[in-house]
Amino acid sequence: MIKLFSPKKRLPVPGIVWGIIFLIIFFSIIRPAKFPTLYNALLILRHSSVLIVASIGMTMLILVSQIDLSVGSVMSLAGVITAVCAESGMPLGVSLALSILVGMLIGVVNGTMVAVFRFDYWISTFATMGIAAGLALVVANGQTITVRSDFFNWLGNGKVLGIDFLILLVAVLVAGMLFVLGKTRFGYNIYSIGGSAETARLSGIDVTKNRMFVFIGSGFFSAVAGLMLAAMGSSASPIAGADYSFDAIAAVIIGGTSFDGGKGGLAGTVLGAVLLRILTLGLNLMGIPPTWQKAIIGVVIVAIIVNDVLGERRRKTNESRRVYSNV
Amino acid sequence: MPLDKTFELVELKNISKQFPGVLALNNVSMDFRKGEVHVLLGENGAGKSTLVKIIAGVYTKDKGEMLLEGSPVDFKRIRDAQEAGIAIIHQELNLLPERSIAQNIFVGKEPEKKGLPGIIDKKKMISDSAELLQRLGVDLNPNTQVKKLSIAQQQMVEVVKALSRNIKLLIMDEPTSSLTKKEIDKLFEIIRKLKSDGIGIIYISHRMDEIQRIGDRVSIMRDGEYIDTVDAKTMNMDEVITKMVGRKIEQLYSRRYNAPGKLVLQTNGLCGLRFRNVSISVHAGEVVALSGLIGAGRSELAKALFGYDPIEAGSYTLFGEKVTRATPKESTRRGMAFLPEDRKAEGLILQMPIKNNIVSASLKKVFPNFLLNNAKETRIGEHYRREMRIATPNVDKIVQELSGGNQQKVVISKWLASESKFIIFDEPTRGIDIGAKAEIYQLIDRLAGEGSAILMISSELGEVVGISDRVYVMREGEVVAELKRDKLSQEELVSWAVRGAAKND
Amino acid sequence: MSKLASILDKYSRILLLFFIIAGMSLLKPEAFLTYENFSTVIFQQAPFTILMSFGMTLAIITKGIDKSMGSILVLTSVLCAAFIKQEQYIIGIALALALGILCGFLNGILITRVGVAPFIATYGIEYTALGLAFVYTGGQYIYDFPPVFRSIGIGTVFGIPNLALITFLIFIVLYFLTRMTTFGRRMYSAGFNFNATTLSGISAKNTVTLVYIINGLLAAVAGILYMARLNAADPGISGNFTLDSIAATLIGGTSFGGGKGSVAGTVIGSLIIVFIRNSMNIMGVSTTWQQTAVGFIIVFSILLEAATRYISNKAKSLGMVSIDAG
Repeated sequence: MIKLFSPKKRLPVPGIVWGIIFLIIFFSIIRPAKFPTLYNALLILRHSSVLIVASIGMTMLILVSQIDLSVGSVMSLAGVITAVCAESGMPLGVSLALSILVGMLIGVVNGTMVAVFRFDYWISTFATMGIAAGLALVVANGQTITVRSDFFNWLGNGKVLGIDFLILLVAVLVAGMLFVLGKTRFGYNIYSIGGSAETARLSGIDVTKNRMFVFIGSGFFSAVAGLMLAAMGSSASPIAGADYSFDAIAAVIIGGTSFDGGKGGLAGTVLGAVLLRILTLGLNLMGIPPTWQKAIIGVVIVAIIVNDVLGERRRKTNESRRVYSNV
Repeated sequence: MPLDKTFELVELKNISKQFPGVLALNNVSMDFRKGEVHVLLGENGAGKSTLVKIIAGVYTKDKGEMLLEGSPVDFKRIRDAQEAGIAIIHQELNLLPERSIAQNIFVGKEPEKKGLPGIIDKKKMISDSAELLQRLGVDLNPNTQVKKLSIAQQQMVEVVKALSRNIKLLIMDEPTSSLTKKEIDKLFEIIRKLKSDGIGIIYISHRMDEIQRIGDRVSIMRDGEYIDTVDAKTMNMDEVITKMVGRKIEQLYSRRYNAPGKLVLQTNGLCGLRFRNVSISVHAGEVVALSGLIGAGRSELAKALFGYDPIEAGSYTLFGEKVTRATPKESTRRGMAFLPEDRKAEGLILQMPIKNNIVSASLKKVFPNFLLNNAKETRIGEHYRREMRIATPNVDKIVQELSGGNQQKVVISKWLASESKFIIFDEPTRGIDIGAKAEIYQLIDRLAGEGSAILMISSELGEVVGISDRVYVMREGEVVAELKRDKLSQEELVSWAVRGAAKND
Repeated sequence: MSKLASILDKYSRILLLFFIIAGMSLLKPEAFLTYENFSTVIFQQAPFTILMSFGMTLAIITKGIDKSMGSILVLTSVLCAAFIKQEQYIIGIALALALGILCGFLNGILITRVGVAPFIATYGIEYTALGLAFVYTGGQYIYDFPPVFRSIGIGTVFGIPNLALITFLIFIVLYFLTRMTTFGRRMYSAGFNFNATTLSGISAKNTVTLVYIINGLLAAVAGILYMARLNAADPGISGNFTLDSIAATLIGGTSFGGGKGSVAGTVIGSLIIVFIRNSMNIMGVSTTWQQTAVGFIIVFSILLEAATRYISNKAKSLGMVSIDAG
C-alpha cells in the first residue's frame, strides 16, 4: 500500500496505481498511435464503468467475507428482462424497475441461503448463478434482443455536457457508495462484521440482517450493471454478463480488499476495474487473439490473488510478532 | 442479611442452561445490587461465564427468570441487554484489529449526526473517545489502529468500550489477567468510581488478593450450581476454597514425584511467532509446567515444538535427535504428542466416533497395510474406554455427544495409542468438571511414573503448583524464570509472570 | 441422528430417482420406457456425469470444490489427440494421464500450500487449461480416430458397453479407497476438521493434494473415453460439467460442510441428473431451461440437507437420541 494522500487523512490507496501507470506506459510504447488517445481513454472508462458497478456489490460482500458468483448471470438476466419487456410494449421505466427488482430478489434468495441459513456461499451462489443464467436464456429464448428505444440507447451512449452519461452515472453511484461505506452506520457495520463477525455480534450488530442487505445490494448493482451493458449496445444478450462474476472478484482483490474481510474499500476496486479493462483493451490493440487474451488474463488474475493471499499471510505473521512492541 | 429492595439491581431465579453433553447451569438463583462489586468465584467450568453471558444476552436461558430492577426481563439478543444498560467485558479480547481505537470503542453504537439518522458523526466519536480515554487515564490516541497496540493496551480499550454507554451493570470476566500492576490499580480506581455512581459490578477473578481489595460480596459456584454467598472482607479463605472445589485441595492433586530420568527435550535458543530465545529442558518422568499470562507465548512455543507453527531460529533435541524444522507428522513419528487447549476445534474430529478419534494419531501403526479393520479399531477403542474410564456405552458414539472431561480422555487415549513418550498438554483441564480434573491429574502422574516426559501449559496456578516438578515462567515471549518444586507458590508465579525480571531473588 | 432424519438421509434420493422414472414411465412410456432410451441414458450419458461427479464428490468431502475438471478433460484430450491419431496409444494415453495428474497437483498446491480458496484456485486452473486447449487447437475440432481406439468408447464386453464397465471399475476402486483404506479415513477426517487432522500427525495438506490429483486423473480418463466415444476432441465442451457434477454430488447426499458423503450416493445423484435432463428432452423442454433446473436441484439439495439437520437437532434436543454407528 502506498499513501496517495497526506498521511494525516489516512486514505490508503493500493500500490495498484503503479500497476495502472506501468500498463499505460507499456501499451503507449507498444502501440503509440492507438493507445494513448483520448478516444481510447474514454473507451477504457466506458468499458470500466460496467465492471465498476458490478464490483460495488462484490466489494461489500468481500468486506464481509462473502462472495456472490451470480453477479454475471444476474447482469444477463436484467438485460434481457428489460429488452423483452420494452419490446413487448411495456414502458421503459417499468421494464428497468422490474429488472432491478428481479436482481434484488435473487439477492434475497442468496442472502436467505448464505446469511440466514449459513450455507456455503460458493455453492449457494453458484446455484443461483445457474438459475439466473438459465432464466436469462429462457426469457430471451437464446437470442440477442435488440432494444429499439432512443432513450435506452441514450442511457448507454448519450452525453451530458460532453461527458458520457454512463461515466457520470458511475461517478454518482461510486460517490454515493463511498459515502455509505465511509460515513453511515451500515458502512461501519460492514467493516465491523468483516473484521470479526463474532465481535460485531457481541457488540449488538445484527450480522445476519446486514449480510442480507449486502446480498440484496449485490443483486441491485448487478442488475444496474447489466442494464448499463445492454444500453451500451442497445441490445441484450442472455450471456452478456458471463465473465463478469470473476472479473468483479478480480477487480476487488486487485483493488486491495482482502478475502480476510474488513479491510480495503471501494476506491481500490474502482482502480482494480480500470486496470483490468486497460489490460483487456491493451491486449486487444496489440492484436492478440481472444483465446490467448482469456488465458493471459486468467493467469494474471490468479497470480494477483495468489500474491494477495501470500502477502496477507506474511502480514499476519508479522503482526502476531509485533504484539509486545510497545508495552 | 436483609435485602433493601431499592438497592436491588438484578435478581436471578432458578436459571438453567443446557449445552450439548453438559448441564452448564442448574437452578441458579442469585442477586446483584447497585453500587456493589459482586465477585463470582469458581473453578473453570463452574458456570460463571455461562451465567454472566446469560445476564448479558449472549446466551438465552433455558429455564428460570431474571429481574432487572424488580421487573422481569427476557433478553433475546445482545442488543436487548445493552439497551437495558448491561455491559460485559469478555475474557477474550473482542476487538477489530484493522479499525481505530475510537471505532472499536463505539462499534455498533456509533454516535449519529443530529437530524441525520444513520450517518455517523466521526468527530463526536473521536472526541468522545478521547474524553473517555482521558477520564480513565489511558494515554492513547483514539485514531490509532488497534492492531498496533500491545495486549495490555487492547485490554484497556475493552474496558473503555464497555463504559462508553450509560450502564447500570458492568460484567468483567477476568479483566486483569494480562494487566500490569499499575494498570490494575488504574482499573480498580475506575471500579470504585463506578461503584460510587451506583453501578453494579459483577467481577470474575481467580486472584484472591484482588477479591479482598475490591470485592463486596463473593458468590461461589461449582459444577453449574450456586453454592454460597459470603462477605468479601470477612471471608475465610480456606472455607471458600473448600466450597469452590468441593473437597480438600490436597485430594485434588495427586503426584508421586520420582527422580527425573534421561533428557528428552532440550531446546536451544528457539525463536518463533511469539517467543524468542527459549532454552528449556524436560526429562523422562518429569512434569514441567510453562506458566505465565495468556498471550505470553506459551501455546505458540508448544505448537512450534510440535511443528504446527514455524520455528524461525534455534533448534531442539528430542530423544537425542536434533530438529530444526518440524511438521506434526514427523513429530508424531518421533514420539511427541500435543493436546491442544481448544480440544473441540483442534484436538478432536467431533463428528466422528470415539474409536476413529482414538486411532487417528496412529493410523499407520494400527493399519500397517492401509486397510481399515473395524474389529481391531473397536478393540483398541474398547481398551482405552475401560482404561481411561470414558463414560460411554460404546466407542461408536460420536465424540460431540461426550462431556468435556470425557472428550479430553479421548484425546489422551489418542496419544496413548500412538505410544508417545513426550506429551505436551495445553491447558489440560480447561472446561472440565472437578471430578474429571482429579482423574486427569492422576493420569498425568501415572504417565510420568511410567517414564513419559510431560510439558504442561497451564493458566491455573493451583494445578501448576500442585503437580509440577519444575516450572518455567514465560513473559512476553521469553522465559524469565525457572522454579523448582520446593520454591513453588502461586504468589511467586504471579509476581514473575507480571513483573518478570523486576523482582529477583 | 434420529431415525426419521437418517431415513430421510438414506432413502430420499433413491425415492426421488424412483419418482422421476415412475412419473416419466406414466407420462411418456412410448419415448421414455424403451430399451434404447434407458441404454442411452445409463450406458452413454451417465458414465461421464458419474466420473466427473466422483471428482466433485471427493473435493466437496474435503470442504473444497473442483471447478477445473471439465477443462482438464478438454486439455488432456486435445493434447493427446495427435498421438492417438498416429496410433501411438500408449504415449497418448500416458501423456493425458500425466497431464491430468499435473493439473490436479497444481490445484492441490495452490489450495493447501499457498492457501487460495479452492473455488478460485480451480477456477484459475480451469481458465488456464481451457485457454491452452484453445490456443493449441485454434478452437478447432480434432476428429476421426483409428477404430482400435474408438472401440474403447463404443465396444462391449459380454454385451456390457465398455464405458459402463470402466465407470463401474472406477466406482469400485474409489469406493474401496474412500471407505476401506487409511487414505479414505484421512480424507474424511481432513474434511471434517483440517486443523485437528493436522494436529493428529496426519499431513492433511498432502491428503487434500492427493484428492485433487485423483480428480485430475479422473478428468483425464473421462477425456480419453469422451474422445473414443464421440470420435472427436472438442475444445468447446467443458461447459456443463461443473454445474451438473455439483448438483449430482449434493443431491447424492454429500454435505457441503465437508466430511460427509460417499461416491455411492453420487452414482444415484448422477443418475437423477441425467434422467432429469433426459426427461426434459423427451418432454420437449428447451435446453435453455435445463440449466435453471439443475440450479434448482442444487438449491433443493441444500435445503434437503438443512431439513435433515434441523430434524436431527430437534430430535436430539427432545432427548430422542439414537446412536448412529456411522
